[in-house]
Amino acid sequence: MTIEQNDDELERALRAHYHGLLSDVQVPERLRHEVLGQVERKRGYMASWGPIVGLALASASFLVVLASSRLAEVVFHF
Amino acid sequence: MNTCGDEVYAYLLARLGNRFDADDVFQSTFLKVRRFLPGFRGEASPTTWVMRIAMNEASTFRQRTRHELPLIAPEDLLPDPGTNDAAYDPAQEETEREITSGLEHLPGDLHDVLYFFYYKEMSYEQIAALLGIPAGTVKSRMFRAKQELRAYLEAHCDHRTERR
Repeated sequence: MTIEQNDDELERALRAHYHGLLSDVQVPERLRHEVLGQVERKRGYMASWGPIVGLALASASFLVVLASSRLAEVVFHF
Repeated sequence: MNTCGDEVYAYLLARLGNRFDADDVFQSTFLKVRRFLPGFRGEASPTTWVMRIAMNEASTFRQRTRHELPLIAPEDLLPDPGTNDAAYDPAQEETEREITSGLEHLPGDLHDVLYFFYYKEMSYEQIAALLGIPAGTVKSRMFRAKQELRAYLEAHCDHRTERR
């Protein structure tokens, strides 16, 4: 083998290596589904927290408004 | 994922050398893509952005598993292109095996420039843009990669000759 002495040989061997191994390589369907499933699950997990966080924020702002109106009532009473 | 998934998967197979590791890193890459997607500003093309994440993930994976013994099933190894061919050439297969082994011994940054140049047929400037380094650095990495690969092949060939 003369590959270690000849630059052209090395380049040809590298091209042949990559094209022989990787031409027409595709993501296996099983893996594609797994990855899409993981991403969806993550999205679903985040989505399930959305309404709870929204409700908590709405409750908190309602309490703030209630407290400030009560405070104003007390201040104006004096 | 459909648009660049195959491209990323081919890169990971070339970089990691087996389907088992490539599958793992492919999954972690797309979980990171999902996590960092809101911060993507469009400064690079989506494929370039995803490929950079894949390269980082592959490097991290290699560093983490450097000291581990490989536990790989035969079906997870890359297909041997010589064995299914009607014109089977043992010398060609030997060369192929040496190249595969030589590439496995190269550092990741050197392997990457060979992959993008010889497989993706990208120019030095395109590789530089992808890796975010100057074109001169790509050229020097290319030179070092071929030098190290040639040295490995020489040593391997000498060793084989001595044994005979």
